[in-house]
Amino acid sequence: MEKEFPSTRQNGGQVQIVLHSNNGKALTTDKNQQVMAELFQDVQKNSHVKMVILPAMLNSYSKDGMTATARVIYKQKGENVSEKTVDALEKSIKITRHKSIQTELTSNDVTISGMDNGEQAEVVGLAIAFVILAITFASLLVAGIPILSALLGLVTGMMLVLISTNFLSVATFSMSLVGMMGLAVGIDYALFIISRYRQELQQNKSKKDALSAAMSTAGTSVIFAGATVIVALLSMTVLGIDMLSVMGITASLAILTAILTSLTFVPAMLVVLGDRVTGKKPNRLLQFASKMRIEGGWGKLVTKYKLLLTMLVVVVLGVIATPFTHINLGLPNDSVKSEKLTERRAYDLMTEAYGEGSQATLVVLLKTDDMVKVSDSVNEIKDLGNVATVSQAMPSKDNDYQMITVIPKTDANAVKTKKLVHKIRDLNQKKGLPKLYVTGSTAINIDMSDALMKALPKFAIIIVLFAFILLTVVFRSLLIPLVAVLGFVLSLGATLGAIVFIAQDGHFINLFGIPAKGAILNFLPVLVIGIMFGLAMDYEVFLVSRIREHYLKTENTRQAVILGMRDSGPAVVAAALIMMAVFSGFIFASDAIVKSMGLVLASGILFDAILVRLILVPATIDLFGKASWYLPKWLDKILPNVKID
Amino acid sequence: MGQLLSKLGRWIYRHAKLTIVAFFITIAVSVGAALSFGIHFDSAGCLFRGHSLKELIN
Repeated sequence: MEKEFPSTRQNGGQVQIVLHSNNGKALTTDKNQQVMAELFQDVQKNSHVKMVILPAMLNSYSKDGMTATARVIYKQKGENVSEKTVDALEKSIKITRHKSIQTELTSNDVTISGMDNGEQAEVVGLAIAFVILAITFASLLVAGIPILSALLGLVTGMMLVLISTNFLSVATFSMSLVGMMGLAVGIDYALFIISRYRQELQQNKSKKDALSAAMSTAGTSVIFAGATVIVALLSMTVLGIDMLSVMGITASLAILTAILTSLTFVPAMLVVLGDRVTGKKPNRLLQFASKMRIEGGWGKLVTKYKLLLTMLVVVVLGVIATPFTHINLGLPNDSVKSEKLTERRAYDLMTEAYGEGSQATLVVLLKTDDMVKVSDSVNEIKDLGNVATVSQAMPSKDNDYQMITVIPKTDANAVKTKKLVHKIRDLNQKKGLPKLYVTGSTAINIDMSDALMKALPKFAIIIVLFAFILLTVVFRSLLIPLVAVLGFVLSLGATLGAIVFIAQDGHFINLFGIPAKGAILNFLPVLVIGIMFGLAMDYEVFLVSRIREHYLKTENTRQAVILGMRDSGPAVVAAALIMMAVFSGFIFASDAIVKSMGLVLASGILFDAILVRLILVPATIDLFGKASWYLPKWLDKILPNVKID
Repeated sequence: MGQLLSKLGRWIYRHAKLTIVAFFITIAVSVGAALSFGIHFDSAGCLFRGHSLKELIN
């Protein structure tokens, strides 16, 4: 399009000014025109502004004359338009605002309101994590080690990511994933090592032997679990979508530094802090709180009601997963932003004045110079339904192509708009019509969502198969890995079902402070699979490796489940609660996208760690009894022997 | 791997302070390297819509 229609090439950043008269007079009246002229002159004064395209030139006055749009074009690219330049524009629009003309700004490529990545929420999440750790270890000092090591690991990981920006095309948004993953697994890994060290000390081992034992058991689990997460994140690269590949690679760097920090800094700190971290002199208040949990009680409860609990978990997760069947992926637009933001108010004004589809323009290119064929195509498009208007054809410089714009009746993320794009493309099958192409940001976003939806099962199958093989190697079992991956699929379905139920269908949105219902961010499912899989494997490995340790000693599955749950259960519960606290913090961020990420990850941990790993997995191990540990001899011979106990 | 990590645990027990110092030196080196290489994010702004995404997606 840029080749045939050079005028459409966008070099500079663009901001749209939306004006709406609240003084009872149309914007076309002399008085309002005078105020608007004053505004445009003031905007043009800024040295970074290339030009201002006035409403009359854009023919953008609404039918009632009460609303209009103007366009500010900058000399530099959108991402290079500085905050100071945007501030100047915001100052200028006060001219019309003071004269009862509501004036709002919106842009596709210039950041106006900025993005709240939830940094404050992260601090609150860390504070909650500290409290949970203090209760778990009955020590404020010990509680500080996982937080400190996770933060130091994250700093190193982020530095590696910053270095990688020199070689990879890294988006700033990748840093959010790096932050979430780095903190999450960093705290988990340190928690598991400290927990094991203190358990070994309780068996009257010397500090040296306890540290050595903790490293050889929990340390190996950390490496195994971390490597699994890294491979899962790196498998994002097979989807062939650059943005996701880079996100996977950068998040893997954070995991790598989290592993290294847990295996070096954490044990060193345990040695340096000596008797203060051994648990021999616990904090009295925190000791009281930590004693409130029932030792070994969970394992007994789960094994007693194993069948009932197994069925209950499967049914509950299955029901919650149901809304996933009608998931609608898209790129959330300004309609889901807070009403406090100018972009949202601009969106609302334009929707009211020009219709829902006004911001979902489809650009259609027709490869023909025959105007009769163009007219036939236009008529066919109009007959497809859900079409508000079709513009007149504009010829390319050589008249080889004709460009028309189609405005649908529905919003850019509506299912009907997606269907319209597909129907227009299907016209290529019709004889007698010229070859046509549909483009523009709406169509690009729809194509991207389709591509990601298509890639989703491929990605899920790859990591599930990978996990099954790895768990089979480690646990020397077929049933345990099978339950582990089926449980993951169930909890993943429930997680995505829950986010569709809330964010897309609009249930309980007020409770979570989501401004409006809308499409699910198109790469959210892929991210959720990556992050949830990582954490699910962490909990699976830490829990089942301990159960297996006891099984190898006692050869009694029920006893092994009860003892394994007693030893690793509290650490896994603490880790899951910490993750939920960290991710829940993001629910309180103002940005709807960050909010939905926090919500989906917090609910994912609830479903996977609590329902699947702490109930379904131990219940089914006991349910299957000795069969849980069955591995055909021929398979046992060919599989490599990896011991993590 | 367990044996290797067990050995690492024993080594760290003997050289805990050295490990911590080495760890902080690593962080300092990574910060220094990041600053000297320079930071070149693909875009300074929000990359969810329009042209920025177009450039990122195949």
